[in-house]
Amino acid sequence: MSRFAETTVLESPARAPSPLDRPPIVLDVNDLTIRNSIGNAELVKRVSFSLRRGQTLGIVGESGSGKTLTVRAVLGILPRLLEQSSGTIDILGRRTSEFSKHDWVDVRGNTISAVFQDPGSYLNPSIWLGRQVTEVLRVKKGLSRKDAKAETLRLFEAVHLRNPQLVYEQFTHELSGGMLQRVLIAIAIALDPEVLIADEATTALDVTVQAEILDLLQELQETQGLSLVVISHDLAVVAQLSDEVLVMRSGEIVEHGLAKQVLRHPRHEYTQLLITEHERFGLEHFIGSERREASVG
Amino acid sequence: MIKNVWRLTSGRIALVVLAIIVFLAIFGPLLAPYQPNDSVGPQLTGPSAKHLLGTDYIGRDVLSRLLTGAGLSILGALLVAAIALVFGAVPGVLSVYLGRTFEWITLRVIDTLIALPFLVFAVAMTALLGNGVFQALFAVGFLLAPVFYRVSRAATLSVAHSQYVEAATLSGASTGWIVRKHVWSKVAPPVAISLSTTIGTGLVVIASLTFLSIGVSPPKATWGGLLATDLQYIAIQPYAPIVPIALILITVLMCNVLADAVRDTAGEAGRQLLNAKAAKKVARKAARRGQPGLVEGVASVEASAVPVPVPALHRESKELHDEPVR
Amino acid sequence: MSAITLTSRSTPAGARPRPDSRGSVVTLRLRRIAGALGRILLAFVPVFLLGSFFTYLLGSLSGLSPAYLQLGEGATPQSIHALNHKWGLDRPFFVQYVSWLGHVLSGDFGNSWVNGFPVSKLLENRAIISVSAAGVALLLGVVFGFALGALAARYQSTWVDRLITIFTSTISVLPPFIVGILLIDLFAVWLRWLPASGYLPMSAGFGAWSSHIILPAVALSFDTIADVARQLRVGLVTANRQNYVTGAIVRGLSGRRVFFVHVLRNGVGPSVAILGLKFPNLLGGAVVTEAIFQLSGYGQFAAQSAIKGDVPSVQAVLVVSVLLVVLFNLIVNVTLARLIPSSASRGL
Repeated sequence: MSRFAETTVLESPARAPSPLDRPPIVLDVNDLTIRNSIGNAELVKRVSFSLRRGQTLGIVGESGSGKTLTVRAVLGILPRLLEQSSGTIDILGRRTSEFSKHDWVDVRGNTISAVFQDPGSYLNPSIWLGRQVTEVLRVKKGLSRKDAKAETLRLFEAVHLRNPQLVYEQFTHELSGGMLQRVLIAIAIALDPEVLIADEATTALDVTVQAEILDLLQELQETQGLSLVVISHDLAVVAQLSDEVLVMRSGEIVEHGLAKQVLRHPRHEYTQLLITEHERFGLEHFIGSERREASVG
Repeated sequence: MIKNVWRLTSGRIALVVLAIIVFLAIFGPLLAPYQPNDSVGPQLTGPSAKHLLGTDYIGRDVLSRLLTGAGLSILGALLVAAIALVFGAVPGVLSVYLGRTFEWITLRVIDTLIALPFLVFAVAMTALLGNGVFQALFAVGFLLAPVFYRVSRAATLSVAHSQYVEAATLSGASTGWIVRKHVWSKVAPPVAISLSTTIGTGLVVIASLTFLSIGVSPPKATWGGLLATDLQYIAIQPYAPIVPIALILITVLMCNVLADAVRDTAGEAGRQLLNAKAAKKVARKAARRGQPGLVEGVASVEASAVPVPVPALHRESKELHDEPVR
Repeated sequence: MSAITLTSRSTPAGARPRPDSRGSVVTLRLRRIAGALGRILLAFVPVFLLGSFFTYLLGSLSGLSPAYLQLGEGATPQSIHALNHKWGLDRPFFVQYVSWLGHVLSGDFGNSWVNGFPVSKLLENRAIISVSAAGVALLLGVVFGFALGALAARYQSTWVDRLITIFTSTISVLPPFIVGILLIDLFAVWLRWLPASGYLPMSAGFGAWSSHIILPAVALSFDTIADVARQLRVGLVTANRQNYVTGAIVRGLSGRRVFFVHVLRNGVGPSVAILGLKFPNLLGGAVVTEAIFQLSGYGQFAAQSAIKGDVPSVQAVLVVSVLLVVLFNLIVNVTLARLIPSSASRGL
């Protein structure tokens, strides 16, 4: 909540931002290369981007483009046979290559968190959902059992779950995909992190639910001062939320720029291909909406 | 199926050893140097030239008793497995076709049989029904039937409404052909596996029963009975139980190895395994004749087990490894 | 961004809980309990009924009667008849079964045909012996099975894992009676560390009691150790690969916490389930181990009574063992349901 105040001072519409008070960089990735340790194939090649506080970075690309591997490297959860062979990742100025296990545990949840596709599978099926939230609050924030429960219910309301008391005691198999994603988001913001990564967070959800979740993410960004990284193969999803867009293909960035620029005047032919394919689903509707104009301060 | 098992080294060993044991079971009494129930020497002697495994507490030749006892134990085990097969497989297969009530009743009965502590009921059944050999075999076979019920029911379910059976019927194939080609290949392997392990289990159970003098009364020679007397005199002859135990263990082990071999060679995975082995053999022969190109493909063949003609293997396996990881 | 557009969409932080939330929570809890009870009844009552029916049927089929045991060879048809009538054995089968079952459920197992004593008295003394042996065996099975399974999963695919797998495969084929004889050979005859037979109650001292009970318990436990270890390894390895482990890690939970709270809880399912399946084997194995180690427990009693033809005693042991299996499986199912509630609703 305190960061909310900061953001209004920096980005209130009354004052046009000058280069001097551009928000600080919260996540900085430079020349990241990820390699398969057997066979030596490079799956992510020299990817670079910066995420500033309060902004949304969208990463779009098809399966195999390397977008998920990139964020997994940022989170420190690359699968066993893959390694970061070169490049650097800085989270709030700290270099992740120097992180010990303890540092990672510290950073995850507190500074950087994530939600994924198929939210139910990322939650323990045998424990009450509410308890999984309180676990995080008690272990990492030191809250008492009572306070943790109260905070959990508050978080459930913040993500617009209709019956927080009930959801608290339910299991994953008793909820729908949209509700589970809300729970996952609630856990992700529980510790008030700086960065929230949403990796295909709305894929596999119904279209109406997709829209609700995207709205929720945007709302939380504004109330919590989150910086978002939104990853999707769906250009529309990325377009709705992002300030900046990254287009990836086969492990490389083929286009990078402000959302409006990239989507209206794409330079790379691959981006053009993606856009023309999405035009059938009314992409301009998102690009040209007032909401987009107003929020890009 | 036996042909396939034979191709595996483990299968070959199991089949050979088991064949030897069955041979001993059938011809044991003829091979025994002495009459098993006659007192032919001094009591409780150790192994000697006259008595290869020594004598027991009445002076009977242990080797002869062992060879004679083999018959009851081994053939008994085979009979037990057969009884279990019939009592289990018949209701198992029928449960798929005879309607809901029959299915429900048999399922409950099987659940109950599984819940019964096996040996206690085997002992009770045998003793209460007359304490004879046949009662024992019947009781044990009956109590081991659930395995076959489950296996045959599962196999039948997977075949009964399968599309290829329907297609074959529609295209006019005879029932016999359908059964042989499709049903048999699905049903036979699991049943064979269960048969192998049940023979092993049956042997142990019969040995346990005869150990307790249930079903067979002394002085008839049985492996279990032998162990019982060995136990009584174990302070004097500590090594006496080792031979009968070894025999029992080897038989059970070989039954399990056989079961594993059948499992490994069954179905799709089995066919791939056998093809990979065949390809390896061909490649090895080729290497000996000096064609290096094919040998490299061999290592990757083992990893991917793709059933493809040999020269193409090298190329294909390389592609498999280069696939990008998501 | 101005605060006005936001608060109109979101609920104020201090909002009171909706009026129906309490009610729906209670409904949820009730539904869960009802479901659990229903499943218990449906699964276990038929098994117990069928098992007891089979037990009684066995007795009837045996054609034995107290006449053999009590009157001897010179029994006249009249005296046999009279005796049968006294024991209620000339009533129709179902009447006998129901009456017997009723008595059993109230703890009355009838009287032994051999000496007329109430069977329940005869069983009482032997209960503690059998239960001790089976209990220690179960304990060994759980402790060693879990330890080996967890180690194998932790060091998966290394030599530790392979060694443990070979070990468990080997001991799973060793039947209790062979292991028992080998143990006596090794520990009692050759090393002389432990006694070969007999039973001493706890009152004689823990050392004495344990030295007598340990060999039979070990012999009984091998099968359980092997299966528990195998199932735990599989369960843990599978659980570890699941997405919720990634989810927990991403939340910044420590490795230890992830393992104990998330992986272990979901991974023990198969091994707990297998305990339920192994229990009948434990009870059954007692028959031979008690013979080998000369413990006068249920197993011995059953075998001797069966040979003598003392039907009520045999029936009592059989029905008690069925009851024990049913009860144990009940406990196992309840435990599983608490650990892994989703399996309960799926009816596993």
